[in-house]
Order: sequence, then C-alpha cells, then structure tokens
Amino acid sequence: MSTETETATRTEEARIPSGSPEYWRCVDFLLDEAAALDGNRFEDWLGMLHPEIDYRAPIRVTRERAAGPGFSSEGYHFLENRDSLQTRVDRLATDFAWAEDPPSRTRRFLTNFRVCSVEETDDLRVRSNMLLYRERLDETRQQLLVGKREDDLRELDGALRLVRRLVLLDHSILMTPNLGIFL
Amino acid sequence: MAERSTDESDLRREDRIEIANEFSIVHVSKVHTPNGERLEIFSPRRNRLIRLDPLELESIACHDDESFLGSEIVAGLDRETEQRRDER
Amino acid sequence: MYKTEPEVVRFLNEFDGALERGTIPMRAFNDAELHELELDRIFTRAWVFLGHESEIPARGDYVQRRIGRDPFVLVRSEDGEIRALFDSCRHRGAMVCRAERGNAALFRCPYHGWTYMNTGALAGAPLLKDAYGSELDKSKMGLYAAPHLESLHGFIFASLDADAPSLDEYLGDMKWHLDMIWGQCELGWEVIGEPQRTVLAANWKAPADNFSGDDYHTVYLHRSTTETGIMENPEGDSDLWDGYHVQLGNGHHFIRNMIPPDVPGPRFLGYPEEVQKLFSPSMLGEEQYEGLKQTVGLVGSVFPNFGFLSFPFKHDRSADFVATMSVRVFEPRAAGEMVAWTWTLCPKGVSEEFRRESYRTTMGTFSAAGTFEQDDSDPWMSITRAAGATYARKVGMQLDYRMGMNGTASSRRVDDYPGPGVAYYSVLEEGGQRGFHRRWLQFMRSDDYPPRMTPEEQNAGAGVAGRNGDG
Repeated sequence: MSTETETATRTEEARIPSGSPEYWRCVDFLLDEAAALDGNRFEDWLGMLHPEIDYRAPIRVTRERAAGPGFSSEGYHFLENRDSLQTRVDRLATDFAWAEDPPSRTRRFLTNFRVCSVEETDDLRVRSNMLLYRERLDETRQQLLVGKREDDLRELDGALRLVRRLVLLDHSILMTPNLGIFL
Repeated sequence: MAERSTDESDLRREDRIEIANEFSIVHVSKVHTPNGERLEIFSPRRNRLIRLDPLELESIACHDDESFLGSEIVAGLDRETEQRRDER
Repeated sequence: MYKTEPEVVRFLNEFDGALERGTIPMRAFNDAELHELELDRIFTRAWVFLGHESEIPARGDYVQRRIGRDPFVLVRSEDGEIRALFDSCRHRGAMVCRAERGNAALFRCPYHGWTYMNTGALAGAPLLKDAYGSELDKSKMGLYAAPHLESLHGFIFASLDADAPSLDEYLGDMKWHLDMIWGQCELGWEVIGEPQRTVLAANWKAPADNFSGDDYHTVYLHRSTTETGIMENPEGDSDLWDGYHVQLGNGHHFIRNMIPPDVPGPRFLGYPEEVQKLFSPSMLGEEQYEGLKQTVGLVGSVFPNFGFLSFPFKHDRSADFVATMSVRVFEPRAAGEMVAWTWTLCPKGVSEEFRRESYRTTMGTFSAAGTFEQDDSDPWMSITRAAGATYARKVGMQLDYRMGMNGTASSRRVDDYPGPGVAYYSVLEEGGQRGFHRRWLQFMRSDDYPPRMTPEEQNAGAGVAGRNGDG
C-alpha cells in the first residue's frame, strides 16, 4: 500500500503562516486555476502548469485503520505529465469528445488551505480540500468528486506554476461515470 | 514458562512493531531480561501481554496442526468470557 | 429459483423471434424484472471473473469482489487453496470482512465474535459450550463458498452453481485464445495496482455487448483519438477493418487484428523486444506462439460480463505506441446501473519503466479517465435511459443488430482463420453481439443449467450466404 498519507506536514516542510503574502499568492493561484477549469479555459489552464508537471490521483480501497488510508502505490486514476495533459486538452478541442460535449458544468470548491515551504527547494506546497460538483446534460444524479489535494508550486518566469499535483480522493468507487474533467 | 508479569524493572525493550489487520492489532517487541531475551506480544485491545522464550517460539514455528490457531482462538475466547463472568 | 412471470416468458419469446430477425427489443437494456431474473439465472450459474492470483499472492491475502452484485471474499487460504466465500456470518448474516483488501488467517465477525478460518470453516465462537452445548455442529457452520473456482493463467473464475461444467468446458474455444494471450509468458502476468471502480447509470449489457464485436463505433465515437494522433486513422489505411470476428461458443467472442509475417508492423500485441523475450514457444508450441506473434490487437468477451482488450496505443502524441492489457468486469448493480471494474496487467519480469508506461497507456486510454473510454460511457448510459422509456415499450422499439446478416456486405465467413471458432473477416459485422444475446436468452430461459452452445449455434441465423465467394 501507498506511503501517501494524510500528514499535516512532513519533516522536510516548514509551515507558512495563513494570511501571509506568500500564503495568499498560493491561494490566489489555485483559485485562478479553478476558475480556468470551471470556465473550460483549458489553454489558459495548460499555461499555468510547469513543463515538468507530475499530476496523479491514486486509486483508493477501504483498509482497516492500522493499514492507513488505502491509496494504491501503483494504481492511478490519473498519472499524467505535460504531454499527456496537452493531449487530453487537444482531444477536448476536437468535434468528437462526446464525454465533454456538451461540456459538464463544474464548480470547484477549495478550502482548508495549508501552505508550507519545502526544504532544499523554493517550491511552495499547498494542501487543500477539494469538492468538485459536476452535472452533465439534464441528469439530476449528483456527481461529486471529493478529496484532498497536495500541490507544489514553483516559480517560472516570474509566475507560479503547478509542478506537482497529488489528488487523494475520498472515494473507493467513483460516482462519476467518467473522468473527462481535470481534478 | 511464558511470562505474563508487567514488571518492567530490569527490562530493556527494543522498538516495537505493530502487526494488524481489520480484526486485531498486536504490538511485538524483543525484550532483554538481565540474563536473556524474550519476544513480548501485547494486545492493546484486551490489555494482555505475554513474553515467549525461544523454545516456546520454536514450538509455535514447528506446529503443523492447521487448526492450532483455530482451537486457540476458541479457547481464548472462552477463557476471556469466563473470566469476565467470574469478575462480576 | 426465481419464478418466471408469464409476462417475462412472453417477452423472452418475443426476444427470441426478434433475434432471429437481427433485432433486439430495447426494453432488455433497462427492465427491473429482467434484471432480477438475470441475477438469478445468469449470475448464480455462469462462470464469473473475480480477480487475478497476483492480487492475492500470499496465504491469507484477500480482496472483496462481486459475483453478480453479491459480496464475496476472494481469499488465498492458509492451505494454499483459493476460495470465494460469501461475506455473511452464519449466525446472523453480518458482514465478516469489511476491508476491501487485507490479510488474515482468521476472520472474526464483529457482531458476536464468531471466528472463521480463512478456509471458511468455523473455528469457534464465544461461550460455545455454555451457549450452545452440543447443539452447534461447527463443521456445518462454515461460511458459504462458491462450489466451483478455477484459475486459468492466474485469472480466477467462479461459479455458484454446483451443476456448472468445468471452466475449460465453459470457455469452449475461448480457452485456446486465452492460452494464446496469457499462457505463453514463462513468468506469468500480474495486475498493476488496484482495479479501478466507477458507477455508471448504464445496464451491464451495454458494455458487454460492445466488447462482443462492436468495431463499427471506433471510427466515429473515438474519432477524437485519430484527430489527436493517438490512434491510427482507420479510414486511411483500412487497418481497423482488417481483422477477424470469431464466435467461440457459449456466448464468448474474440476480435483479432493480425499482421502477416511478411508485412512490417508491431508483433506480439506491440510488446517491445525486451518483453517479447518473456514469451516462449516452449509453453504451448510453435503454432500458438506464431499466432500471438502475428497478433497486433484484440478485444475479447467471456459471457456474461468479462471483457479484455489489448492494442498498442499512445497515451500522448509525443510518445511511441505502447502495448496495453486491460481487463474488465461489468458488475450489474440494478437494471439501470453498473459498476465498471478495470484492471491493468503486465507480464512479470518487465522493466519498471515499461511497466509504468504500459500502465499509463492502458489506463490513459481505457478507464474512467481514458481518452477512448470516457466517450464510450455516454452512449451506454443514454441507451439505458431510452430503454427504460415507456414509449419505447409501447411501440416495441427494436435495436438493430443486422449488420453482416445478409451475406452480401463485405464481411464474410472464412475458413482460414488460424484458430478455433466460427470466423468472419472483416470486422464490419455484428454476429458476435447477436451471439452474446443469444446466449443471454438461453440462460434466461433454461431451468436446468444451460447446455453448451456451439460456435455454429451461437452464430445461428446469421443469414444466407455467409461464406467467401458465395452470392
């Protein structure tokens, strides 16, 4: 099983106080990113990603308390790099991406921000809770994707970019029919 | 004989490891007595402890009766519930 | 045994007649009564896939799996045998194993503490002597177990019916094909990570039907993949229509794309040289080995709800084509709901790098986030929705499965398929899908265990001149 655990901070991290300018810089970045995704502005979104981005969401199974949260160490819903994310965006732009045409209506809610600096790098690590509401077509079935994100932000050409995203979902069985949207 | 005393004097305990599944959890450590060593197994759920010496451990390792564990579980459950009843 | 209401009997007769004409009453894809009957008639009798041995390698390893929609613990017992134990305590029926994955020599029910060996045998219960005296015969109080469980190349199947034939017999000519794909790797295959599970508002038969020979949809539904360069353009090279559809009997089907030895192209499903070395003709002989060597892609379905596919795909357009191996179960949750299970496998002994790339590519194309599969789920759900429409029932709306029936279109029956079964070339035909529904009907109507359905019987009613060169 995975070592991805729900730690508040790890030993190589130092907490950055909430409300500090660095904290707000990170939060603003993530809120802008969420707005780009909710607005289906995928090219804008790609522009917010670092070229070396590592983007992953491990599969989860129910384990007993002593075994930890149950994230797989090898199984992923998403295991992406910049090229594969670009390909996904390109696909959405074709006339044949049925899963997202008509597009889902999404709303990403981000809360519980905790920002840390990461030892020996200039990266900023943000943990946040994510609630992604999704509706498709005229379906009234609720589709929620809920979980915790661990995002590393790195400066490139004067702006923050997302260089690592780990999404730890609260679902062992996904309640959305597909993952045609980005977490 | 397996020792059950929780008298901690003269005992040096190495770091414990946990062995767990959805049904139970135990803490296991090697303990050094003044003259020897034992494997200590502690059940936090039932607050019970046993210290097994090498010969006892050897006989567990060599036990080839498949139902060994099964019958111990039954016996253990019965002993525990009888003890609780006696305590009342 | 579920009592078949007269109305359902009447519907099944109607279904039979429709299938002869090459259509299927749409109601079959979303009907509560049919669903209940399926759970009994199909899922408590057929051989159902549960998982792969590599998921439970050590004694005591267990995972929670479903037969139909019923909860079973798939466990490698302390004696080394694999068992599927119904996850319900013999005392009051409570769930015994609640973790979805774990290791235990003994299972203890949390309600009253009844404790079972991981063979399912009752080890004991608190106060046994006081509470029950000699009333309780422990030997008769073990967890219920599937009466049949067998594994083929590590793939574990079980049947809940004591009268079921052996797995080999049930698989019919599919056995030869599974041997070809999974029986030639000396070190065996293994699952990577955990299976993914997603709930869809679709009837389980929509994807099962799709995996039974729907090649036709690839050019349009999956057009986004050719436009982004991650799938070769089928209209360009006619690659995608070149291929065999093979009916294997008992409702199973196989789609096979092959490249002749004198034509350059991927070999062994696109696995690279380093992986090809792991396949050996010493396992099953030269013929099977050559068969796998010349196969570039395949899709298979084992009745009722097991599917698998392997094609070299690109996960992103800058990458090379990478071999994939995806295995699926379509779990029937309700008439209009299913859980899609997806496993990715790889031969044992490959490099970490290849393993990672193959995993990324397999899941990246065929999973909830898969660039192909996310589009598949849409029609599966919308068909299910329409199938539940009162209007559709009123007008007896039929779904059209006639492709290939008249024998004049391009797909023809062939005699030169290098393997067993009834084969057609090209893949522009729907015989496999009709065959799936034919077997479905047989299971639904048979009070006794349904007898073997030969490939010919599965292909019955395919129309007049089917053979090459006929009129």
